[in-house]
Amino acid sequence: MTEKLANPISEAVIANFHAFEQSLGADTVAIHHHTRKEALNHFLRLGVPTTKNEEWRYTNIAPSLKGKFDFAKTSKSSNLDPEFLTSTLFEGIEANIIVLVNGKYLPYSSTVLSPIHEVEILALDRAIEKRSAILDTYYTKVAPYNNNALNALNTAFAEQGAFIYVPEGKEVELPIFIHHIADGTSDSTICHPRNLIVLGKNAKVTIVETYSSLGENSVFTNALSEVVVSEGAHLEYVKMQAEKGNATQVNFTQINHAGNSTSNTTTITVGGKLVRNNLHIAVDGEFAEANLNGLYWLNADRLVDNHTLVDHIQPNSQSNELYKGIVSDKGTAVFNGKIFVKAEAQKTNAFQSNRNILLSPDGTVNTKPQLEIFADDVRCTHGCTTGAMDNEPMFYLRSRGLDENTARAMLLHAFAQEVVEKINHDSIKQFIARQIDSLLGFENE
Amino acid sequence: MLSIQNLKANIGEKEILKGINLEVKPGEVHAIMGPNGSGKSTLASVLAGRADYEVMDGTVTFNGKDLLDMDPEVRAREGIFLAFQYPVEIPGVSTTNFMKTAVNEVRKHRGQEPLDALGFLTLMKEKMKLVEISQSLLSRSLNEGFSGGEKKRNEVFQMAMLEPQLSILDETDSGLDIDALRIVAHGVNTLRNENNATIVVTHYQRLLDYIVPDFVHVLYNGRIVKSGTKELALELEEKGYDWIKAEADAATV
Repeated sequence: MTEKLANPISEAVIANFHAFEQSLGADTVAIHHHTRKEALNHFLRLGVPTTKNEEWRYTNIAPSLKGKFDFAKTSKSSNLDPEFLTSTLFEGIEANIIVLVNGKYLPYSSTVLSPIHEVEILALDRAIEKRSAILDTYYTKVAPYNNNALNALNTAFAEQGAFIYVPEGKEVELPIFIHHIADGTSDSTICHPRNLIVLGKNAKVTIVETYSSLGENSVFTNALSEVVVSEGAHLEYVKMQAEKGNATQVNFTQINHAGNSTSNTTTITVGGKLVRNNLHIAVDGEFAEANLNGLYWLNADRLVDNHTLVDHIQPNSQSNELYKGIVSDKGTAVFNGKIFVKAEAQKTNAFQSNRNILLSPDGTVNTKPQLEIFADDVRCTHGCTTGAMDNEPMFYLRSRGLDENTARAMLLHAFAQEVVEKINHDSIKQFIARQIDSLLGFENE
Repeated sequence: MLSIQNLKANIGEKEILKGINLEVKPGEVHAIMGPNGSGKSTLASVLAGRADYEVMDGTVTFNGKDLLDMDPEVRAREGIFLAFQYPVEIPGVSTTNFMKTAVNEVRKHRGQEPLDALGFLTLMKEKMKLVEISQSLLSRSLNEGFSGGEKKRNEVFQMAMLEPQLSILDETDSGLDIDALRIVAHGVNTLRNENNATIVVTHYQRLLDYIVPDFVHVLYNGRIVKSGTKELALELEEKGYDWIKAEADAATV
């Protein structure tokens, strides 16, 4: 008991919650005060997860949270140069763009090109005013905060994020980019970006979230996305995490599927000192299909932890999961893949694969599939491999005249490309492939 | 061109090659035959620079240079080509992918200008005809789902692209039906000229009906125990290896 009260993080959180609420507009406080207060209490009850918690065994976030709750600091608006923002990230791809710096919406850097009848794209606080019915239905309902400390913390402190609503039957032609920039230029900071993405029946959209960071001070991003994929809808979803070594990120995404809907989620992690992803998918409709693709590249002493959960609730649904990692230096990769098949979910097809290449004897991979199957007529397969690069393909390419580095880069490119190829959008795929190739030292003509 | 003297090589603690001597001159075709486990493939691998083997003694010079001192890629650029007995599958890498880099690395080493995309394509089209291989096969992941014949034709295609001075064909006939064997042999024979040489490693005489050797060497227990002309291969086909083994074993007692 006393241990929790004495927790300096909890004390700092309480001390700053009031100041934070005061800083919000009066209306916003009125609408969400109760939820925030409740979430805060859940956070205080649950506490910051420690490595004693099985789900956080390899990933210690507490040190990164320390000193991040000085409200005067974190609420300071960023002095970011708008030129920098418009010139960076997926340049040349025509898209709707939302820019969030330290979790705050930057209107002058954001652009919405798609017509309003195709898609409604708003900053979350605007959506609270304009789209309260949708908010009431889904906000905090898709991803509950009573059982997850970081979700509770996000719910208590969330200011802004993207609200994306695609009405029934609409196909959004242009992709939607949500650029998250954690700015540690002047001070260390914490932010809690929050997205609500709702696809109506038979709607179709491509969404890309990018995460980058600036400056030398430490930054902590605690992002939460709630995603609803209605009957017959299709979501193409890419997360590109490329923060610097000053950044810690916890990213929780809950996707809820209705019948006949599909999602294709690709999580690419090439940066950040510590990144923890929770991708939870509820396949709660017949003939729904969830595809989860992941690629992580680790160097230095960085850590990337992917926890995924696919919950098959209705019969005849399918999930395909492929996560691949390249670990060099003293990098640490963690993969935990849960697949639940509920008793009603007969005829489920669930595939999971996690493959890792260890390029250094000092790297670490902890991988764990976790299948809990309560139906008897299902097909579930899983496999994980971790190993050094195969000698034989290396020798083969070298025996054709390729030097060792070129041969290695070519093989790593091929390994990574299997995941990148899963992205169903050519220019986005090519942009990401170029970034990966430059990290791997692969030159493509 | 190639001079092997007293070559001894181990895999782990086990001695495989126990003192090989061989001279190969431009324009020649040498067949290395021998029973299973005699060290034929080890010899091919050591010449190409496979790391699994440790050279314990002896010298190998190629055009006057110390071959054993070179990395595998340098050997390739100097003009050594190994057609693999078991060509490796590489998902995500197509023959076209790596051959462009390979061809230009070799050209650079020889002081030639790199080929541009068009030049490469022209060369590829020309060499594809030689082994009757399709563009689509070359664009697929290397050897993934290829038949035995497609794998070996792809090896000879790469050989044609790189124009080596010394080609080492390691059991290229294994896994081939007669039609594929003819195509592969036709490719190899077309590439032969007075400036290059070929070492054909094989267990059976069959391939030598198509690629006719100038010399035949029998490898047994890590040594060349008998050398002769193509007639030796026919004799082996007829009588098997036992008489050679008996002769060799008697000599060492």
